Formats: sequence, structure tokens, C-alpha cells
Amino acid sequence: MKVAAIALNAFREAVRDRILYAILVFALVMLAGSTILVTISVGGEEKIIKDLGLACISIFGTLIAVFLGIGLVSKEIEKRTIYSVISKPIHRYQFILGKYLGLVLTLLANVALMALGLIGLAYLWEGTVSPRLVLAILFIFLELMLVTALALLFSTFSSPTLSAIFTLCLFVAGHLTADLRLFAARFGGVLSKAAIEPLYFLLPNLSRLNLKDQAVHSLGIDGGTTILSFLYAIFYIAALVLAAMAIFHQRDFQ
Amino acid sequence: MKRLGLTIPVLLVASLVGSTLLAAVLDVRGGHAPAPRGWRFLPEARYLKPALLGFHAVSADLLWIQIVQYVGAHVETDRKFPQLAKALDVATTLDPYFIEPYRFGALYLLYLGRQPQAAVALLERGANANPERWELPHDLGRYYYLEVRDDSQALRWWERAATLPGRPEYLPRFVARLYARTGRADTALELWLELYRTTQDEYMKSLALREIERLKSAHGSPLTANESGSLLP
Repeated sequence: MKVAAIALNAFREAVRDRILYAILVFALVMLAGSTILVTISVGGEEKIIKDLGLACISIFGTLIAVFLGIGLVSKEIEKRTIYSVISKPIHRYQFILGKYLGLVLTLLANVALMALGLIGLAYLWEGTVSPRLVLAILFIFLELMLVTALALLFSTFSSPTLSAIFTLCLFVAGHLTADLRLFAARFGGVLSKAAIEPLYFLLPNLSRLNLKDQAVHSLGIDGGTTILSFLYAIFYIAALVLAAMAIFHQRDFQ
Repeated sequence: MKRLGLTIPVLLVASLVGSTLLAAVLDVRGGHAPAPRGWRFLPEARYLKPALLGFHAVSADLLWIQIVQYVGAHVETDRKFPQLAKALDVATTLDPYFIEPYRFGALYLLYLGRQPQAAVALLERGANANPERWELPHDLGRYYYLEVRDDSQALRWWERAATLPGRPEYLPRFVARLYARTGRADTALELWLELYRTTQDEYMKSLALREIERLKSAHGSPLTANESGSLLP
């Protein structure tokens, strides 16, 4: 109950943030703009609309996750509202979990709006909506949940600016981990291989959550790999939120 | 305060009018952005792809739109396309399943750029990357049939395209005719019989029957209507 109350409060606080609306309006305008862009292409209109729509959801969702996530805890400390919260009969882990769920709820509302826009456009263009498209959007949402958990973790021990930098760096690294491992396997010596292997498993592998190609080109999706990728994301998110709880638990607010 | 309250809207209107007038003057002077004439730098796609952080497909789309503009700009001016093959290579490497850059790109290379080798290489790469798509072997067959007049190569590609899902109705007909032209009448006959059995189209049925009769008579074994009836279920 306490977690739900904090989550709802975090959600209400987030939806009052003007930056959220600016990003959302921009994303919806971009989505609508894709229908104008395809008029100067030769063929492939449906593909371009879906590609642009999925990219919009991913990019603007990441911006929302980062810029709202980095302030989740640090804002409370900066405004000193944290003192009134921790003096109440709630556990610190409940506070962190509630904050995280509140932002996930905000993201869900935003992604749902953008997804509705994209699905509507895809339907208008093709007369049908592929379940693969819905699955790809679900996996983008999972990726955003992971990015939010990263932002939350950094928010528990650093300033908003540093948290944003760290989160964006890990977002980039998360899309390069598979290539990094391939690079080390091809060109690296024994030492670099030994260094990169643990890094590969430690860093988030965000390319595992990318089903955009499969959605747009109607390629086959392996059910087993999809379920394992889903579980991977859930386990990684759980690890990040638990780490945030542990750090927040150790912090001294005297 | 009242005076200041009026000054801001007046300045705002003046600024808007000023910017509109200046935009119109710049347009008259030809100061608008020129059409894309090329790229200063086209990176190697295999290095570019990982750097795009999973947004390689949308980047391929945007590059394809730029390629179309590039072709349009050069068609109207010098009709030279020095960067076309490289740009198409980048777009198709970024998204190997994007069919249009292969199909239309090959047409641009062939008929505008006069680069048939690059066009064939592009289509062959597309056919290898998309073995389930009939369009690319179909276009290769068309190239060999119409441009090179190499019936055996055209047959090779059309035969492959004819087995793929979604292929046009006319493809098996083309394949059967090519077999007859390349002196393989038995195979041609088999294909016409197959077409006769499978097609629902009355015109195609009568065409197949006519071709069967023609082939049989050409090889000294005329086929009567009854015989063909017994042969064809």
C-alpha cells in the first residue's frame, strides 16, 4: 500500500512536469510528420513509417526516462523533502520501489500514447496491424524500464547532471556490448579478451531487446529467445533497483 | 507599465513581419538551401552500423530518401552519379531487408548511371540477403533477358523467382517459353502442363493448352483435344 501511494505520488509529480509534455508533443508531431516524409521517397512507405515511429518511441521514451529518472531521488534530497519522507514509518526500500514504479507508470502512459499513434498510422497505411509491431513496442518499453532503473541507481548517489551523463553512457555502451565482444574476439589479445568478457556480462545488453527489424520486415521471431530476452531484462532491472535500494539504505541524511 | 505592455506586442508583430519579409527577399535572391548534390563523406557501413545504436533501419530509410533526392538533383543537371553505388551500398548494408534500394537503386544504376556491373552486383547481394523474396531474382532475370539477351541467365533467375511466394502469375509462363527457346522442349512442355493444371485463370488455361499443342506439333507428335484432356486432369 505504501509503495503504491509513493508510486502514485511520483506519477502525479511526473505528469506535472512540463518537459514531459514538450517531449511528448514533439514525438507525436514527429510521428505525424513521417507521413509527409514518405511522400518524397520511392517505395517502402509502410516500412519508413514503422521505422520512424519505432525510433520516435525509443528516442523520446529514453529522453523521458533519463530526464525524469535522474531527479527521482536527488530532487528530494535537493529540496530537503527527503527528511519528511524518511521520518515517516516507511522503509527506504519502499520509497525507492515506489519512486521507480511511479516513473514506470509515467513511461507506460507516454509509450501507450505514442504506440497508439504509430499503430493508428500503420493501420491507416496497411489496413492491418502486425502483432510483431506490438511486440517490438513492448520490448522498447522494457528497454525504457531498464534505462529508468539505471537513472534511478545513479540518482541515489550523484547529482542530476552526473546521473544523466552516466545513464546516457551506459545506454550507448548497452547497444555496443555485443560488438565490443566481437571486436575483442577478432582483434584483441588475451588480456583484452579477459577484460572485456566480464564487462560484456556486467553491462546491459540492450541489443537483445531490439525487435524493430523483425517487426518492420515481418521476420521470424524465435519464441524461446524472446522469452529469455524478456526474463534477462526483468532480472537486470531487478538487480539495478535492488542496488539502488542498497545504496539508498546506506546513505546518511543527518 | 501600460506603455511597456503595449510595446512588447508591437515589437513582436514588427519582428514577425520583418522575418517574413527577409525570408521572401532571400527566396528571390536564391538564398534557399540547394538540393542535395552529394555527400561530403560516406562512411563504411560496417563501421557505421554499430555506432547507430540500433537505429540502423531508420538511418537506412533516411539515406534512401536522400538517394532519391540526389538522383533527382543530378538528373536535372549533369546526369552524373559518382556516389550512387556507394550510397546504395551503405543503405542496403544498414538494412539488408529493405527491398526498394535494391530494386529502384539497380534501375538508377543501370539506366541513369550506366553502371550495369554495379546494378547486377546490388541485385545479387539483395537476392542473397533475401532468399524468400521473388522481386530480386525477377529483376535480375529481366536484366539478362532485356539488356544482355542472355536467355540461359534469365532462365536461371526467373526459375528461382517462379518458386518463391507472391511471385507474379506470368513468371511460370516466361520460364516455360524460355525453356522452349533454349531448345529444352521437354522441360517447357512439363512447365506448361503444370501451369495448365494449377491455374484458375481461363485465359492462362487456354494459353497453356495452345502452347502444349504447339510444342507437341513442333516435335512431330500432334496433340488432339481428347489426348490433352486425358493428359491434363
